[in-house]
Amino acid sequence: MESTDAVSLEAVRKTYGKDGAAVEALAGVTIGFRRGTMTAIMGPSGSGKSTFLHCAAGLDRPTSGSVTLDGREITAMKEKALTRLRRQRIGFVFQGFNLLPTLTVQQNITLPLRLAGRRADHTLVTQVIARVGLTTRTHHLPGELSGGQQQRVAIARALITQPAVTFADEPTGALDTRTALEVLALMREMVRDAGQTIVMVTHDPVAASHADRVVFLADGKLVDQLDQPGADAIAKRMTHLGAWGRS
Amino acid sequence: MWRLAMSTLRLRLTAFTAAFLAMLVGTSIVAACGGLMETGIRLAVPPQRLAAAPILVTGDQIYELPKANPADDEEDTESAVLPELVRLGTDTLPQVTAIPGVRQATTDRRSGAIMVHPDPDTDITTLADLIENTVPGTVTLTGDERGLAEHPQARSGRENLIVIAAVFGGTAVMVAMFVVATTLGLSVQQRHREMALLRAIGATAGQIRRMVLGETLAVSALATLLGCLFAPLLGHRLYGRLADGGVIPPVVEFHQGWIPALAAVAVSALTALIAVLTAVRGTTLARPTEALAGAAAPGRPTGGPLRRTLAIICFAAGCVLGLVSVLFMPATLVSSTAGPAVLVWAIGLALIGPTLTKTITKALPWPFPGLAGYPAIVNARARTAQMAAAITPIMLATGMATANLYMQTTQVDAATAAYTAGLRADTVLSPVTPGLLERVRAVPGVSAASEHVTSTGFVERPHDNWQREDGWPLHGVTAEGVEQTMTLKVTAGSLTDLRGDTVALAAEHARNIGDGVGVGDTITLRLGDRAAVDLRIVALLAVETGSEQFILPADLLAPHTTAGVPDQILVRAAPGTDLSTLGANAQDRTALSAVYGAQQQTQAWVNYLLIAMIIAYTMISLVNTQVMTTAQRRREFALQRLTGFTRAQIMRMTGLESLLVTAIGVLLGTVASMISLIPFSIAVAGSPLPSGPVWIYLTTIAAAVALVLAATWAPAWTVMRTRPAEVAATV
Repeated sequence: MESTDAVSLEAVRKTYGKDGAAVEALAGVTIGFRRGTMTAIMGPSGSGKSTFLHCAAGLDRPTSGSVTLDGREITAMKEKALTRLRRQRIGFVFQGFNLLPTLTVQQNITLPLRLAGRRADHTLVTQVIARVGLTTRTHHLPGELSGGQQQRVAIARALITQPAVTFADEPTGALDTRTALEVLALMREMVRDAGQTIVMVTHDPVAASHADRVVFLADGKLVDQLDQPGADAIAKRMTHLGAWGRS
Repeated sequence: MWRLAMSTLRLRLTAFTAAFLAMLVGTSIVAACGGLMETGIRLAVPPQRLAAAPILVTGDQIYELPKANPADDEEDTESAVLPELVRLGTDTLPQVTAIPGVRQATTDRRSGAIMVHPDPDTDITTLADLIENTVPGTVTLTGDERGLAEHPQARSGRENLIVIAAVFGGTAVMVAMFVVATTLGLSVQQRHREMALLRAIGATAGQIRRMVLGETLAVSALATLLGCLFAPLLGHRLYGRLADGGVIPPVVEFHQGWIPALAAVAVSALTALIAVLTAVRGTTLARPTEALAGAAAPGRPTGGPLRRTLAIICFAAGCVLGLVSVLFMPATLVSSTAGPAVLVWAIGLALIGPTLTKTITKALPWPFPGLAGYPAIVNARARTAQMAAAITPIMLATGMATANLYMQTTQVDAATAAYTAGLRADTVLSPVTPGLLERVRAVPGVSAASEHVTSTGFVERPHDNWQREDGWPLHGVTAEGVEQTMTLKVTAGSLTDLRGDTVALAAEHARNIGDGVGVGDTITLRLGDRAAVDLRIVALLAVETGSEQFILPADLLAPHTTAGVPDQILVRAAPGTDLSTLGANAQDRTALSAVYGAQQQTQAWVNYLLIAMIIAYTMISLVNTQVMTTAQRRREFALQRLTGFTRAQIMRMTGLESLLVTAIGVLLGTVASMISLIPFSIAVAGSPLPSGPVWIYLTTIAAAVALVLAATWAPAWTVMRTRPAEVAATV
């Protein structure tokens, strides 16, 4: 189990606020993500999706429980060590693209390497850029690209360090249907061809249907999971969770 | 990290131009003031007429004030510059000639200095020292100092110059620190999200600090370097104005070396580094998860304990300065405590600015009706930190402008009023030629006439506890005629006895000399040319505290002045008396106070110039802040337009926000200036209300409104040129 899971969470709890006003965002979550798979985390608004992602990725510390990333317990790690681990072993793709507007496509992609003080392997960089289909755009600024292209830059940036796992937070949230499908296909391809592990938070059943497994969160707890489901099955499950009624 | 920093520099032009300008101008002003001070300290007056003599021997113009207890070595001695030319004794020339190494020594008739030509192969410095040590009461001048023998007035101008340079340099340093810190702080704050993102993808806090430091270092290196290049030009121009204004004789050479430049660079660079490090601390402490938050949240107002503590220190310092102004400062010097007081109050208010802004905007009713008014007030409440950042420079500019300008007008008015009140004569004649007094008295219709000469002196014995290094004003008058021509209230003795070696002084002052002296007692005064005279007290006067003076017979005082003769003759005559035949220039009372007022204005004008320079600098910060905060709202405006706002409505909304910002800024600025102006007016004019025309205040407000609107609307219009959908689609 340890060796096949890129990330695993063990009884993770996260509480915000204090005493009387405390809100439990995660109420004891235990789950593992196998290497070379793509998992979608779904749930209604306020179900704890984002908190789950932050805790799993080492961006936030759980109140209790443990998170093991690439075989290492991260909850007790110091901030600086955690930052290093993050830039070497974890990739991120955010909803808002989150590229540095002052850097070119290539500079944005190689930024994690530079932050780590590593030389960019030219072949790898070219390869990654080619894979996301941006070979002709390497010297453009993010402002000159379409939304789909920007998200592909973000995916390339996440992959450049060859991370153990890539976390994606609503990666298609700001894209139109066709562009979203392209981006999802790209992510799928990374898992299938490059053996990447992707954990994606989404509220879109179509996006989730690209995953190997869909996990449902409600009120901070894991309530269900489906293996390779269709979009219809996911939508149906979400309706049961009250997602459409509540959000 | 360096490359990343550089690429950021290239693309964040607005923010960095602002920081660059703030530092460039700050460094220039601080270094220029430093140059003025260096000029005063060096006091290089190249000789002209006496340039042929390598060594000039003059009297010693520096006077060491007597100590309370001459035996006490611990007590600090204060020294003063004697205002009149100290002449050498007749026995000095033979003594100098007798010194080995002196080939020839002659006396220059006009300046009274002895020109010394040394033997060949004699070291000039050694010989100069030897002369000074051998002949008592002499001072030798060599090199560029020699001009002082020709222009002794340069020596007293030096003090003025150093004081002006120090006061304005100090103010400039404080303002520069403030402006640079605000601008840089704002530019870091605007990049909050970018930094959080960098944290999320694996940049350590240290890396972000290094990046921001790298950027700041690059900007400050360029800005301070250019600033240092501009500084001598600015300093030279300022010096020219000061010389025109009579602060210092133009014979003194302007000198700007590397020390002021170095100090200015150090001040600007240090301020910049501290400012960014403080600003970036909040960002690096923030959790990287903030980068994942959907929208950039408006900055939270910071009201940390450090800010509050600093604010309290500032307010306390402001109170102390106010008290010192009222209680201890002589009217002529009170602006040197009241000036900094405004700044201290303004900085204190700026420190609690965010909290203050929040309170004010919350307390506001709904002053702006209509579609543009609603979001304006909502924005004002939500964007407290940005509001405070915009309010601060407005407060600083209006506060400094109002306080300093009204200080000048109040001081000029008070001085003119005091001058006119002290004068009972109808006409003043000048210049004074021998026998003029008798000829005036002989003119039909003239009821009284008195010679008048002014100088500065010191009480030598008994010890005067009130004495400062500025000394006391001395007035030389004629016993018969003084009471009809000057307003003097005698409480004991009589001014008609003011003949020979006699003196009259303030009664309160007399009680504080030694164990107290009275009519009939003798005191020793040191006159402006170093001569010590024993004077018998013949009268005591009632004068207001701060206006203490000594009245001496004019024929006693005049020979101890540089001119050697009285300045003018004060005349009281029946209306229509013709004084034009006397061959002297006659001026009546109105003309006199106008002339006096104009003289005061010349001095004031120098201050206006320096104030204007600092206010202009504050304005840069004002424009910077407005432009930076408005340009940042590109996306917000685009979203509003997408939801149905017209461009005109957004312009109206930003206009209303600007007015609100200006109103709060002007209000706080007025508070800061009044807090300093009231003690100042009490000290100078005896009334808490400053005097001066209202238009100064109104112009200040109008200028603030115009600047803020321009600095808001220009960038707002520019960012709204792009179609809103395009803006909203980008990050």
